[in-house]
Amino acid sequence: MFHFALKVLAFILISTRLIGQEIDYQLRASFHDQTIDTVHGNPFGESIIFVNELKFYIYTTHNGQTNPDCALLLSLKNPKQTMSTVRPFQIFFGVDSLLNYKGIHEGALDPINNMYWTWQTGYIHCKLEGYILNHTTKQNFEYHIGGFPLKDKRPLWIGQKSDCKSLELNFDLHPAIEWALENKVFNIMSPGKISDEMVRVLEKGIKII
Amino acid sequence: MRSALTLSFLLLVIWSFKYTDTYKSNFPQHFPNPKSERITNLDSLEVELGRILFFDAQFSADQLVSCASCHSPYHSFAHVDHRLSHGAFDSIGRRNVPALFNLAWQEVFMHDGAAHNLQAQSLAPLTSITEMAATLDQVQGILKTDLLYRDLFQKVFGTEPSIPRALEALEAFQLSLISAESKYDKMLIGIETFSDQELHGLEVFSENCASCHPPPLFSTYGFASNGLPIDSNIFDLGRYEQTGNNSDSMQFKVPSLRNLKYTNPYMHDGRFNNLRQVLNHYSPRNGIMDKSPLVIPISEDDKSDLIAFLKTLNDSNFIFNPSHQFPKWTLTINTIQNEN
Repeated sequence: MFHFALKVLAFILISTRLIGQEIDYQLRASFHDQTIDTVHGNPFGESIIFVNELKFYIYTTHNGQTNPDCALLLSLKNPKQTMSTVRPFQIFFGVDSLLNYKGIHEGALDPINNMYWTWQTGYIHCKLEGYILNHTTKQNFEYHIGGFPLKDKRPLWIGQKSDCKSLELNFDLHPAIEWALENKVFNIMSPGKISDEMVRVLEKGIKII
Repeated sequence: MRSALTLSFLLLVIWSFKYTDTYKSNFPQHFPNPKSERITNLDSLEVELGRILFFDAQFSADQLVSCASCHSPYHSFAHVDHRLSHGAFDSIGRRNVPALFNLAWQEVFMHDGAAHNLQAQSLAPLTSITEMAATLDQVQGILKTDLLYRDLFQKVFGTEPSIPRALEALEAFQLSLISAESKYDKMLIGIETFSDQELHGLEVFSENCASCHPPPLFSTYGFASNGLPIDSNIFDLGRYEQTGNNSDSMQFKVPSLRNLKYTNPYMHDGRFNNLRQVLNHYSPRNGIMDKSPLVIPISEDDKSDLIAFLKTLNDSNFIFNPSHQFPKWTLTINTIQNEN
């Protein structure tokens, strides 16, 4: 009887973990250690950085497996999202290559979210748009990173969690903007070498807490 | 109320008698295994939903252009007699409309292979400003408010209409477009015979054309240069525009040679109106082509025989298949809805 109860208990515990638990994902977008200010911008040397749009996918895997329900679209406008997640899980930046290859999905991956390229198929992993104000000059920047050709590249690992009910994802844009200014790259709208470089810089700024 | 009841009754009657659960995909034994796994497991009603979406012009920005406007079933789902595609608000595109058939045997789509997935491909014409010029918000709005779509999506998917499901249905309809009943196909299974001219044309074809256009699909569906000089007005660099690799410059997806009778003009920019012009382009006498490895050194008589063979690849059963045409029964439904 005792063994039977133990088995039931173990089954319940395992089932609970496999079914998944609602986890709150909170985005904190920052520039260095300052939270992104969309109204007044953020200081950057003698310039001020204004970020109009930051929108990106993350996805989770459990035992290396993922599916469309494991994708989440976080943005400055919708920084807090809830997703059922099977623990323990790993978190990656962007859209899983297999999901990207298979075509169109629902939920967070619905093209209605304007995160799918129509002229060259593939999900946009991240949109970052804004401008840099320096005295009297204004430099716009617009980065749409992602697309199908990234399918052969390594997954962009962010971190892992074994047990949590909420997690904060800190996205520091400073490395990306610094790289953009150094390389004088202010527009990326298609997959390719420059896009790949940018995504590696973006990846450096992402941490889970 | 009475109209709504009539609508429901009509839908019930149509679906009860017209459809089975599983769509029967017919392709002959001499075809290779399809690349798409879906082709063997299509749902009849989903194919029908895809057909309705394909012919529905309300999704374009001016509500005048549907997928079928450029991909006419009577022209093997190409746009006959139009060099470049036409779109909403009388816009003109950059390329000749490709014919649609045997898509289940293809892995990339469009002249430059921009789409790696048939389901996703439909997003391109829907939102291109030189094609249907729609926004996805508009498309979703129509899907969610149109009573016919609400009802059909519920029956097919058990859900509310959504863009991913609509794309899935469009894919199902397009996968169902199989052209495999040409004289050539019938010759292979022994129910038709070739004339001497057609047989000689087949020999000429096998020696000169089959490496890029191998039977039975008559295309590798890979990318190749057709040797045409660039059109300075269009400035289309083909596959290069997708990959950025210099070696892909001016490479275009190799088209199938089936149903050429219905798909003129030819080439990615529609610059040739007839097959003789195409063959002349590959002729050594064409100065532009002298240095090209694509030169086909055949006589004028051989060209005639080759064209006679190419005509055996036309499939009139495919062209006039009623299940590929405008779903007329929706007119009845729409009339009832409007009265309601």
